[in-house]
Amino acid sequence: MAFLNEQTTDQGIKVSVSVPCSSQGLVVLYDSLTHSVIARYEIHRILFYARGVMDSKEASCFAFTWSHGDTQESAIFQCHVFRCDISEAVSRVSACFAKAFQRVPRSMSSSVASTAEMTSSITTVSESRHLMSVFEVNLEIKEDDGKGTFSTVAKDRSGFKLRVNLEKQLCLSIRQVSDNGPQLSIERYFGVLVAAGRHVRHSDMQLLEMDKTGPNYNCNSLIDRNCTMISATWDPTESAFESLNTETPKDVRQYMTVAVDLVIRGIQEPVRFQIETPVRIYGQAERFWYFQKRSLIQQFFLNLKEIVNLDLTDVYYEVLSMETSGELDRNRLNLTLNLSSLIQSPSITSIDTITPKDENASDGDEPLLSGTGLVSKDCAEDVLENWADVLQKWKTTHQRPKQLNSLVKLGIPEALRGEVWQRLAGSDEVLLEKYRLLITQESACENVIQRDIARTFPAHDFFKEAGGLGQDSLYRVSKAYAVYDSEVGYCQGLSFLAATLLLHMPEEQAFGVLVKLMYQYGLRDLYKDGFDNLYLRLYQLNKLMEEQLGPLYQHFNAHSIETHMFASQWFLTLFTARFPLYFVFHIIDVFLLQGIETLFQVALALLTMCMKDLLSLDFEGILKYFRVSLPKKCRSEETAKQIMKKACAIKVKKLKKYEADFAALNEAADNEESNASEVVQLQMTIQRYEEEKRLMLDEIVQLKEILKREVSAAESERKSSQNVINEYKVVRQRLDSQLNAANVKLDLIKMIVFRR
Amino acid sequence: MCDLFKRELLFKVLVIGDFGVGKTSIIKRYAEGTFSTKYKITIGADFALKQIDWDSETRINIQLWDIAGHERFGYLTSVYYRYAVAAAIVFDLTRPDTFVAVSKWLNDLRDKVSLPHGKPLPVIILANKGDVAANKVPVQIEEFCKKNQIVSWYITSAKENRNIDSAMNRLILEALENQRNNNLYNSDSLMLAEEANSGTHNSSRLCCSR
Repeated sequence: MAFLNEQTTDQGIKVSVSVPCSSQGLVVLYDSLTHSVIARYEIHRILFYARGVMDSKEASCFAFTWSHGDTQESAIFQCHVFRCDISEAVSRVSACFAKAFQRVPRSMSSSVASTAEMTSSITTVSESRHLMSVFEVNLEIKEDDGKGTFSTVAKDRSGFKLRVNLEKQLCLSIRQVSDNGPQLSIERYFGVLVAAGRHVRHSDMQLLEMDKTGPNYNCNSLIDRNCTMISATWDPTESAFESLNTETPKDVRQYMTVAVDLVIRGIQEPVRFQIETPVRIYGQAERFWYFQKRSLIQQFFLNLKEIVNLDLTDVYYEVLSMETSGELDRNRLNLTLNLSSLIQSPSITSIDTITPKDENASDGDEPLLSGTGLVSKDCAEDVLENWADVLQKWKTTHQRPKQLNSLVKLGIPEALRGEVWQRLAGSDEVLLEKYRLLITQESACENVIQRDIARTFPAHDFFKEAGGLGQDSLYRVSKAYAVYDSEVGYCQGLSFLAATLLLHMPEEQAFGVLVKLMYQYGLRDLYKDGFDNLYLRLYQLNKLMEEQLGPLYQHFNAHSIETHMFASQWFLTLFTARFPLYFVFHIIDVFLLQGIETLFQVALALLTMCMKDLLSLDFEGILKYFRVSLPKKCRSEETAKQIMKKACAIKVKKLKKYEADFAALNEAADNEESNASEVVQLQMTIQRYEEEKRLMLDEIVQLKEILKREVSAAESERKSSQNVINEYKVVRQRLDSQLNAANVKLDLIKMIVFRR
Repeated sequence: MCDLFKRELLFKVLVIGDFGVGKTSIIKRYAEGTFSTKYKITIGADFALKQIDWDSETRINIQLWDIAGHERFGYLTSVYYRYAVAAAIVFDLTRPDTFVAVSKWLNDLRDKVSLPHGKPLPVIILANKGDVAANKVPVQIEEFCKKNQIVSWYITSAKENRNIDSAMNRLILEALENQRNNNLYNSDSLMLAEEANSGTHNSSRLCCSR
């Protein structure tokens, strides 16, 4: 300014400056001679206005800084310095700027159209107009978590889930979201009111206990230009809230009404924003497993009537009516273009995102139930467009398009999963036909299946109810599979796979994809009797760990942790039994794309992620970590995404080699076994032969004995026969001699006779 | 008494029985003192730890192994039987066939594990869901226990926390007794811990080669 002062008057350019009366206008510089416009500066882009110090040389100067450019980085800042001929005029200019900075615009018309009336603040009184302004209220309820802090309560389609007797906090954030209405800033708030039920009378609302400083102060609220945050404490044990502090019976729908009264600049009467929301009250010990602790978002449309004071120094508004959108689904909001930018605004996300770290601490040792984690169907438009292209190509060429790989690895949009999964697996009409027959047949596994149905995804609404639609279809699909695949039948763990599929497609199709997963993708081998293939996979994982995660491998060895202790469940159920659903779904996306190696990639990515933690734990600690902490770590959608990204980048190269190693090991073990058994057999044979030999020798001895006896018997017989013969010989000799004697006698007699 | 002078023991206890009889619930009740109607399927085996100060000089760390009940997993889970010092076989009073299965589980157990000095593993039988059907105790149970050297049997309820502590205490008493006898043999009070360590060392080989 001092520099400007030193210049002579004729060196400068004479301009006249017009300052608008509201923040929506333009500061316009006119050439004082030609009255042509030299430049325009939007008020909202003027960062700073200053004037020279009164009674100094610079008293007749003023300046402002103006920025232009699209982003903060590329913005160019200009400083414009002016000197007035009459120094008193500076005060008026300052006043005009002050007004322009503060004042809500009088006009809803675009800034270009309004330039005309901005040239001076003296305009004719325009007739009062009707305007609309939109506010968005974000409501979040927190509960005392027993650790001195409040954590956000769970919320789903049936509203907030509250627990009895726990002190609560209501956190509201309110912001104006309409770009084109008048800028209304919230000055302060009067208080937060709560009542049970809906359509409540004003008198039934209870003002909440405010902090010591009283309701009219903003001490526990944070007001900035964009967003007002208010929190109030609510003691549910007070008698007025009795119905909000008793457990809600099963078939009853309970509501609560929350209201906040705000003083808005430019509106004379306080404005009440009232929200009615369903709630469900549970016992104090109840636990919920939803990661997404959403807040409720509701928009309010204020129909305003513009009223301009006669002296034109002030504009204010009267509220004619107020409408509300009812609860907005944030997911839907993404699609409406004009609001999308708001959703990323830090003031809202900071309330809304609960760091999973907090939850880890608050949940203690309880393992995560299967089927936790809401998976939202929202999806950025550009992603959907990419998918539309790919799906179109796929349909026409019947081949997986090139871009499919990278898209699937990023995670299939939830809304498309059902279709894409079926396509990846390849649907089979014959199977679908068969399904109708299969469900009519009986299975030996019915008993086991029945037991498991209630234990599958108990945390998911669809499968929660006994005899509900979800459990019924799960039973039928599992049973149909047991009938279809009589060798594997039903094996515990299958129900998780079936349930995952059922969340995305009708029964027949789910059955079809299940069959494909089992047969085509080789999961069936894992389940086969004896679990040989599972052992192979576990061996491969062990080798991969040795190769890629050396320190962890050694740590596990030192603590006798074997892969089957944590990974058999991962592999058998494709990670479905313990992990949150969006993680599970993403794994299935990639598994259907590329098959069994995904198991290793995900396992290694998980182990890598928690290597540091695991290295500090012992046997019990490690196993517990796998059971409790690890699934919880994946509860944040962002973490799950990152793990999958990491997993997809992991190279799993030597599977074949390890498979061969495993087979060789098995064979060696078998050989060893068979060699050993051969020796045993030979020994036994020898023993047998020896025994036989011994027996034969015995026999020989016996035979000899017998023979000897026979021989001696024969000898003695021979001798006795000889004797007999000799006797007979003697007898014969005697007889012979007798005969001779007789013959001699006879001859004698004959001679006698003849002589006679 | 100062903790430093306490002797620490590690007992590995198996909990087995048919699917859905409430093994996980019993373990949860015993180790954590809680019960949930939302029960879960055990695939493979699970594990919980309970520490008890048995007397002024003994602290026992009990490793409770929750073995999957589906018979298919028998192949997978027998690896967990090693170095167990006691076992509880659970059946469901509301399902008579689960009692029939008790003898199958017992045979399996006796086949696969015995104590170092050849004694049979101490086993108790838990007739669970006693809150629903306490009156349906199988008549043969007494005889079965006598015949099969079962330490004792109890009607339990994980839901109502009935008899679980006393049953487990009985089992641990048996295990302690065995431990003492074992120590008399070896006169080495650290034997069990050492055994457990040296035993598990070669287990990785066993796992991979079945």
